[in-house]
Amino acid sequence: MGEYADVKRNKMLAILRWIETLPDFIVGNGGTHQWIVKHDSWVRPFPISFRNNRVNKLYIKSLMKLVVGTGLCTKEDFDAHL
Amino acid sequence: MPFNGSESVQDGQPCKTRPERLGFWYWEKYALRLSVKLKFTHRKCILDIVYWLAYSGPLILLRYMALMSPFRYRLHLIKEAIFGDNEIVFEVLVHHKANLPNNDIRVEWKRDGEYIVGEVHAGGELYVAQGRTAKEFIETVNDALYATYSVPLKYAEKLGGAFRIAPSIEEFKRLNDAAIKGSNINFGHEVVPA
Repeated sequence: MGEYADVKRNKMLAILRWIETLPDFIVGNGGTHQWIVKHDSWVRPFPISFRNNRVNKLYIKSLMKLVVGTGLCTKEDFDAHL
Repeated sequence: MPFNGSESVQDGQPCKTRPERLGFWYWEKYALRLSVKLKFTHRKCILDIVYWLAYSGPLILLRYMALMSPFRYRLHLIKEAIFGDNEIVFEVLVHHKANLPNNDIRVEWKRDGEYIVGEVHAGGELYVAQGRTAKEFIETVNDALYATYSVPLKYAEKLGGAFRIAPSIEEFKRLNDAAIKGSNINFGHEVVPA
């Protein structure tokens, strides 16, 4: 897991804005402190907490796996927006 | 004095034509009389514009802020809490309760700097949660589940709120113990049944 680092909340927001531009992706809010990333091919959406100022690298890694798994972008594309 | 049709006849001067009456210089005397009032009005207009910018500027900024901004979402939640419809439909509550996972939740957590970070395995899916303290971490796990299963907040509160699923006392102590760097938790039991 060494390739990613924790990111600030605003940076995460920028990544989510980019993900929202990809086809079939919807990004919104839910719960009390969560962003939600939805895709048509996923059973459940992926929640990301914005309660703290920093978003952990585990979120980034899991999100990368899910987004790249849809085949709409490559890992390099994802990393370029970090 | 407003224009009176008989004025010109009384003064013995020719009657003023309509364009003259509407001219600026004709009305100047009235404007001068009202100058103090006009100045006050102008001042008030300027103040109005300043107040409008001061109060509506942030609102305009909010309007064009990102849809997913945490600040805007929090404002939305506050607005919903004050003005929103808080009616609970029993059938919907039962539906949400049946949908939420209860007994098959497992969390693999570890300490990463000042945060407790965990992978939440629930309902065959993998989520992530983080928190500075044990309490915050458990709240985040519950919040993530509500968000994932699209449970509105008014229903989430009826279903147990932030501590719907909680670890045992021993596991909670391990979460609070900074010496323990990681462990597994089974969130097996509901604390507050709906």
